[in-house]
Amino acid sequence: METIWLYQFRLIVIGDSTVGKSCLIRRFTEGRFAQVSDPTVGVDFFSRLVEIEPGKRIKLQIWDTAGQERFRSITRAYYRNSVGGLLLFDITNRRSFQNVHNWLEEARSHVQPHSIVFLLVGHKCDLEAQRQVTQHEAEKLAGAYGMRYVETSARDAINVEKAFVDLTREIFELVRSGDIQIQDGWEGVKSGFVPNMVHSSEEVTKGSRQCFC
Amino acid sequence: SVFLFFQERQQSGEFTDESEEEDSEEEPKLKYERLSNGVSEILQSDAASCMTVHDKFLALGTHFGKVFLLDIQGNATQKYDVSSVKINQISLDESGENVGICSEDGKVQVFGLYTREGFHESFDCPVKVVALHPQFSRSNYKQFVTGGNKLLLYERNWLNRWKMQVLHEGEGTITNVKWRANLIAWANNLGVKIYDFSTKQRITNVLRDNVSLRPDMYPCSLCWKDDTTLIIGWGTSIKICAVKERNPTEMRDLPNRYVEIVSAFETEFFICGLAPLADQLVTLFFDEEDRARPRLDIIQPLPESCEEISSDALSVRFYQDNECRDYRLEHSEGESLFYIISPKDIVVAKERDQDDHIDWLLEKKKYEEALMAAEISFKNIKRHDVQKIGMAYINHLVENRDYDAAARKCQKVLGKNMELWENEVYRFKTIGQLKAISQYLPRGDLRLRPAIYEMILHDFLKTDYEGFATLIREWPGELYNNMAIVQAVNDHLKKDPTNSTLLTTLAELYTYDQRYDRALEIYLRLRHKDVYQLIHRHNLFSSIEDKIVLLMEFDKEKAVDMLLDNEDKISIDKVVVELDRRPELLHVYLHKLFKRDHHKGQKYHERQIGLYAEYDRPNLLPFLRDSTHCPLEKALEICQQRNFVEETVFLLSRMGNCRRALQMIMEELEDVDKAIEFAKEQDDGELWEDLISYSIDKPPFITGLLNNIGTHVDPILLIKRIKEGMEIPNLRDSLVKILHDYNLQILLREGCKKILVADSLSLLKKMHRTQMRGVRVDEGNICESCHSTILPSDMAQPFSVVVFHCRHMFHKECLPSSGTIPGLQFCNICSAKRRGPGSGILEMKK
Repeated sequence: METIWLYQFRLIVIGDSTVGKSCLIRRFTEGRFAQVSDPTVGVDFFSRLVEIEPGKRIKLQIWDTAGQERFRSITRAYYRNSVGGLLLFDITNRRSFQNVHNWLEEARSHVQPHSIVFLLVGHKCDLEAQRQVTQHEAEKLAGAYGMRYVETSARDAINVEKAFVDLTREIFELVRSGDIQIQDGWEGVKSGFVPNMVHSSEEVTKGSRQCFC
Repeated sequence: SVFLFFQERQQSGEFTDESEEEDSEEEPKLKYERLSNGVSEILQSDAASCMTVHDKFLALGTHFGKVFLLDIQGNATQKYDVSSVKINQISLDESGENVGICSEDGKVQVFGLYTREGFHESFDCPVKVVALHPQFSRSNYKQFVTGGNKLLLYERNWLNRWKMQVLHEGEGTITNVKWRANLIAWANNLGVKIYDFSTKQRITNVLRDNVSLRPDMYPCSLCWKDDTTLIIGWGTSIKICAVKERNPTEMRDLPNRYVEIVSAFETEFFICGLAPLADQLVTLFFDEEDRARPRLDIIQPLPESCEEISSDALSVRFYQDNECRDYRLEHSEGESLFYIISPKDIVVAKERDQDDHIDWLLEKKKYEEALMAAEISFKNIKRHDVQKIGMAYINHLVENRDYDAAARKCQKVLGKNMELWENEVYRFKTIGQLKAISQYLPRGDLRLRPAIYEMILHDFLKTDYEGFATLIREWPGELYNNMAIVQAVNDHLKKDPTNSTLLTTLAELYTYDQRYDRALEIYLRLRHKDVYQLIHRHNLFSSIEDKIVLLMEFDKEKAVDMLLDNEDKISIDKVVVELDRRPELLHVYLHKLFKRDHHKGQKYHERQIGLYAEYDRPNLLPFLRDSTHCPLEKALEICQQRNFVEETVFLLSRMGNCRRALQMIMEELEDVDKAIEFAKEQDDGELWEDLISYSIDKPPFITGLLNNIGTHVDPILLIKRIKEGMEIPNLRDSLVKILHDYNLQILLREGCKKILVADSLSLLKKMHRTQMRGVRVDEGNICESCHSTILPSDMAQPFSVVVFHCRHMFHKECLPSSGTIPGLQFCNICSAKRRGPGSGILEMKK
């Protein structure tokens, strides 16, 4: 099975613990929802192809990070090589919304000199009754940071595709416009047609570009 | 459990020692050392995620995606930028020339360390494991396995292309792979499986026990103990699996190898890593309780349990931040080195050697054992030195005020090292314990400077005269300067002039110095028994000539013995002159001399009579009796003067004046028994006559005579002379006794006569029987006269032979003519020998 993709974008998903990062990613990559799951430790990664225009497929490498404080030192290493990020909060948990600022600050301090395209995601929107953060104030905050806002639910599969695809499109436009450039030693964006520069032995790697996962 | 802190603790104070009070008596089995140098630098900004150990180098992977090659001291020799994120595993082949690396972002690289040529791939999932074929360096073994959510086998084909094959999938992420010989063991979320490369078959599936534990938080540890033994540690469960050949009869369509779990048991803590150590296991444990230090235990596996051999808690840097999955345990098979890898610290555990054992003993203040251990293995210890340990032991004993033991140890520890000895002596002086060391000081082949010994002697002299005396006696005199010590003793004597201990010691000192006259003087003054020994040993007889009286006064017996033993050196005459004024001593001397030899002192015998009479009457008579040199007249004169009757009697009888002697016995001693005895001794009729005459008017004498005279003199002589009417006590009994005696004599004689007659008769009969026996005459016999055969060669001729009872034979014609009376012939030989005939004739005629 030969998968042709135009670019590979590395995305990172951050936010307080228990806001539902892993569930969102799993819903997107595996199409299923696990009611109970263990907290993520360190990082984990998943990938999926997204077709943003007919024939234009983008491979997303999505890094799931641990929201718990004591794992943060490990996750910092992953910011630098990401081109985009989903900044999640739980609409039923006001504190997670208040921490968005901290997460953004931390991410920005670690990605220098690169930058990350963020999307603010209000998660668990199926729990409307327990909502503590209004859509309005979330949109206001997103506007202040110059990012878009979307509300999602992994359980009910609301806006999951949209969130990832929207972010992917945004990055794709920036790449196409040249605002984001492919660089050696940076893994945020990779071209599907250019051989990976890390590979020193071309002959060996030729023809082995397959995904076995 | 034993808590260990590294040496840096003292320097940096980085480790808290809350458990220092835990003073365990158990010696640890392993020692620990932090891998430092380059590693410390790397881990300051990065964190270790995995490491692989080769005999000659280490390959370290980090959370920031770097792989470092390190020498065994921890210096980085090579760096590879593999990924931006965590390196999950590094695999080296046996040659150490090829490496396989996989990372969290899905990268797998397999390449030659020297060629950098190889396989590079990025997968769309984290790749946790990679394992090269152990013989990867050989061209026909270019194979490796790698695992994310599938276990993939790559093989390079003849076109140099990599061919991939899925070995297993569908049971979650592959978390561990270990390739040994042709067996590949791996773990996924459900269990451990083994793939047999030789038959291309999976041969086992060991299910996970602790299914409640998250497999990503508590990963499975795998380790091949040998080519067929796999050890699995997972959660708190250890299983030892043996790969065995199946019996061909049971084979059917089953794989020809199978796995038997030979041991399975639970552990107290979570397992982070395993390594074999001979029959035991080295296990790295994570103690979940309040994030304690990781523990490195040595355990002895049993079929269903295990025995803890040792347990050490390790204070690795930032252990508080670590999870079970952050630790790795790697080992080097060659050297029994165990590497504990944690994100911020790498520690090497080694088996403890003899030096470490001694370290531990010293730390526990078990100096005796440490010393013994060092002595036994002095060839193998590198850091320690027997003498230094000994010195430490001595210091320890001194600190504990066990001065005697410390001093005793000096002898063994300091040996022949003069400098150490002197230092030790000065130390003992400083602490005022010179006495303790004094008896252990070398005094044989090795000698210290005399000043040392003198210092000790002076010390004793101040406080302990007895001890001083003992040392002087025990130490050879040449250890110290005699003059100095003599001077010191004399100084002390000024204060205490009569102290006998000091005087004796001084005498000994003089003796060492060969100033015997002075020594002798002191001994005599002290009346010391050693004086005789001294004189004897040093032949001081010339110096004692004028001291004989003193010596005698001190101990007559010994003095006399000595004088007599050395008569050749001190003449008798000399002694006699010396003792002239002390007759009582002179007597003792001469008496002993006489006892030894009756003749040597003969010229003094005359003088001795007077001496005996004066001082030793009981020995006078024996002397008079034994001496042949004493003038009898002189003796008689002395004895008469002193009225020594017994001696006089003896002298009189010796001089032949028996009558006078007898008279003295009767008149002076009035002792009839003695008189009779005397008469018996002399056996002289005249004496008896005198005795009877003298006794006749003394009835008690008569009784005595009557009772004793019987066998010597006819009692009739006495009885006849008894005057009419004289009353004699016990006369009747005496007479009855005399008669009784006679009766007895008669009976005795008659008995004797009877015995004689009977004996004669029986002997006569015996002789008669003997003579009646026949006498054989044949060719062997010869005529005793002509010495030819007794029988003629021609037996037809008439011949005559005479045979005597003495068995001598003669031809009749060889004997002289018997004259007219036949039977009066005698054997020539026997009559010549005057044996007498003793036999008649046996005449044989034919």
